[in-house]
Amino acid sequence: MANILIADDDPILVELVKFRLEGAGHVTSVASNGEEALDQIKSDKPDLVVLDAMMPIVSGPEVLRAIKSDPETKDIPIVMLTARKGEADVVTAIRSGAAEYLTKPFIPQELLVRIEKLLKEVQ
Amino acid sequence: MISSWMFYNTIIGGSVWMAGVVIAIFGLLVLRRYIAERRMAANKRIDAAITRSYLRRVAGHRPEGDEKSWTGERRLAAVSQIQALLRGGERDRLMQIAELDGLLAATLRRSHSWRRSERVSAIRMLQRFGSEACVARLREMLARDHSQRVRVEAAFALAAAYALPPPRETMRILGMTARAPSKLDIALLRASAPEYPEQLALLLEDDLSPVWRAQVIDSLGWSGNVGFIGLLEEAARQEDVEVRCAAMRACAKLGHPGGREFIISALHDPAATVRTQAVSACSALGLKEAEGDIRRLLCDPELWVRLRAEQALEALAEGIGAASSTFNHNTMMDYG
Amino acid sequence: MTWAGFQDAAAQAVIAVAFFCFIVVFLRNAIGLAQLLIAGWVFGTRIEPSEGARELWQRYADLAMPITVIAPAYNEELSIAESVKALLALEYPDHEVIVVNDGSKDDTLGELLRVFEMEKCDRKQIAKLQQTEIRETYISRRFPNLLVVDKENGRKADAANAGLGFARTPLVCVIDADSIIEPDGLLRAAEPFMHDDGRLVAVGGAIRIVNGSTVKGGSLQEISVAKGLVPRFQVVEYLRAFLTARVANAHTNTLMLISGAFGLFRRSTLVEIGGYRHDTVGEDLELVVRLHRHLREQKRDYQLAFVPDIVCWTEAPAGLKGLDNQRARWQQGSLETLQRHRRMICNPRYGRIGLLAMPHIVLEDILGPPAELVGYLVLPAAALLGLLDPMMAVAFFFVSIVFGSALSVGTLVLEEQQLRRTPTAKDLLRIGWAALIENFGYRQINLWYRLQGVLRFVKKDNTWAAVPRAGFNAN
Repeated sequence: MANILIADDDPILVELVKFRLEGAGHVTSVASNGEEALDQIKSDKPDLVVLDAMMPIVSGPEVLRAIKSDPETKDIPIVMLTARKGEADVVTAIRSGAAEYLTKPFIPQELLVRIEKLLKEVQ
Repeated sequence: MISSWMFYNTIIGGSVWMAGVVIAIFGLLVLRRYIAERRMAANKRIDAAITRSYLRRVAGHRPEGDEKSWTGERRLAAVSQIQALLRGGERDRLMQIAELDGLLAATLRRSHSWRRSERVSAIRMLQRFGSEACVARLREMLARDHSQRVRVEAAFALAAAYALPPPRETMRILGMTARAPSKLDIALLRASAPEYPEQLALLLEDDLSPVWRAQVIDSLGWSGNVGFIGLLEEAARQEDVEVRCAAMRACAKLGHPGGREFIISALHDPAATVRTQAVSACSALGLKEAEGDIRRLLCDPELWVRLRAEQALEALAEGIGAASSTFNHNTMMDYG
Repeated sequence: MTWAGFQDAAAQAVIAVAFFCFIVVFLRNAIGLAQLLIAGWVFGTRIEPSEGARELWQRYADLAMPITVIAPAYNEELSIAESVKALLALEYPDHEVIVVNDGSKDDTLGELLRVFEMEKCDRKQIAKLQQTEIRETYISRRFPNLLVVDKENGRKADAANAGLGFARTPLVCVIDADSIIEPDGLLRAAEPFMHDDGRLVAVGGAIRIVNGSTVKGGSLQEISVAKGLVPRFQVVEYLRAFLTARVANAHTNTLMLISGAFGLFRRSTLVEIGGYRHDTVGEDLELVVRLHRHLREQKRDYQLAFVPDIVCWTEAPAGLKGLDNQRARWQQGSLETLQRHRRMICNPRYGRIGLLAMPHIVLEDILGPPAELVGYLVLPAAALLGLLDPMMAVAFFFVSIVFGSALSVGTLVLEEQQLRRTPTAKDLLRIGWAALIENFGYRQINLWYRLQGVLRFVKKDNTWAAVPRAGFNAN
């Protein structure tokens, strides 16, 4: 069981990811924009973050950079979600420290499997 | 004097009347917006509840929530958003459940609307459902809808569901050959190539105009059928420049070096566009043996050929990994 | 001539002027109504764009024609890096960005070179359309689709031409350095090219005013409506221009203006006519008029399209200071274009462009502003002197003001019914209020600024006074 933050402005996507993760016994919290996400990451120190690339106020990649540059939060694994298909985006995301990268539409089972694998690696 | 007085009076009255009507409509729209704003939070909750309910049903759980207050419209909107995020088996199950809920019936009704825009949104929804009934309705719309735009949209939806009719039928229904090909026409032909490769080849026996002949040859490249190399070789010798270009593109797309010889000889084609396409094909196929000929094209009289040759040499030097990216470069160019 | 004779002649002249003003104002408003009705019809029957960029991506990714975005930059040191990042991040399958540093006096170039790790390259220019010298070209080590062209200082037209000469893609998109392009703006604007069978040469798109909204990192974060009245008046004006006039013009094949803030063109056609002209202050209007002229003279079958979806946001003058200059410049540019292409006016050789579109510009830009201003003075005066039916003076005010308000509010109705990009009901009301009161004062002030433009045209004033703009962070 892990504490997972879902940062996305699309309520339907949040519901989708939440349903899966809670079904697998994890505890979730939600941030609906990049600013909220950063605040929650700093205060709650979740075990993992599911991060949408396109978010209002502070975008996904910016949140990612901020998390990775803070020594207290830099070890939190990040899973990025995006609508983009371009290879360049995958490279940028991985280079800036995302542990995993999924494009929408995705298979929820795959997201869960990848998250659990990451959580095992951390422990 | 009376008549001019009447005239000015009409103007004054008309202005006031129109301003009144328009402001009243505007007031109603503001009110509508205000009400929607008031309800936004509640609607968000409902959307989340609908989403949760469908996700539970997809996963085989008992549904929860107060379903009676959910309108068909809200459900359809939610389903449409969920399906855009899902892939694989869960998406299919979601669409089946939505169909059981009668959401498809509403969409089918909408596809008969007298408004063109309504029919087109129905088509987009039918494409997402993708069941037998949807495909049947889409076919009917492709064949019978009186609006050309709606027929094109229906054809696209069918292409997305891998259910296009044979290319000859598509071309006839959309009246393609009577006009110059648009990007959408090309897309439809390419989309039908994997399923109907032989039928495409048969089209070449028709009395087609060179532009359309070129498009058919171009789509052969998307069939994934290497057996067409012979046909492409023949096309590469034809008189029409467009047809020769298409043969080069198709060969590059097939990704099989069987056409090596005629591609390399096309590097010396009298038409500059054919030379450019041949260079692109060489770099897409990674034909190292063409390097010498391409290097000579660096002094080609035509600017586009020189630029393309430069890029191709770079790509060939970088090796096989560059093959896909050079193909992108190829599409970047404007041969005009 | 006797005194009585003189009086009589003067009276006759006043009456003639009054009637002329009345007819001009009446015609302008009647055409405005026709445009509103046509736009309403177009919106009512149009096929809504597919839901969001996501779907467009899925459907058209491999078919979209590659685009080169040309962004001329002059003294943009502070914002250039963010703007270029936003341009590179635009959603489009295949686009290149060419930034033309137009001899900036600040460190615009240095900023670009540092942020994007640029290195010198010898990119060949395909067509030399600029009049100034190119100093150097640079490519980025990080972004393969970014090219920076450094050149001597010229005008925006010159910088755009230089970039155009380096473009290699079938389509080019010319923008202003401070244009904020919608993330899916390129996709939307390129959509007409999907349906095109080779006739389409250019596409314009709706432009909105960014004042009051939150801009961060070169992209729009939150839409809002400015507090000041002047920007709000301009919001109404832009809506009228883009949602009714342009939509109606495009529908009747008489689109005469694609804004310099965002325009998508077929590269080959633009190169063929030599790009923008350097010697006018209204190069965007002149370009489209010349495009029509060239293609009509060559008897080619062509088409210009307009997408009513918003493609781009632009900063408008925040106060009357700045607005005066902009409006005078627009007026001057329009007159220069009309003068240069005067033989097209009412010339049947140019089809509906010559017979309808050009005379309409004459009505709007040459006759309109003075006729309305003079009308405000002459009609009441003539009515008081008993030369005219007082009803006519009253009717004049109703046509220009009440009817004008109705047209503006009508446009807002279209916007709210179709695009719904005003954030809240409250903002909607605030714009509605601006639409009503713009006819009392603002509109007349504008007419005055435009007369200044006429003066500048007569004096052949060619200086380009910079328009003071409020920075994005200032408000």
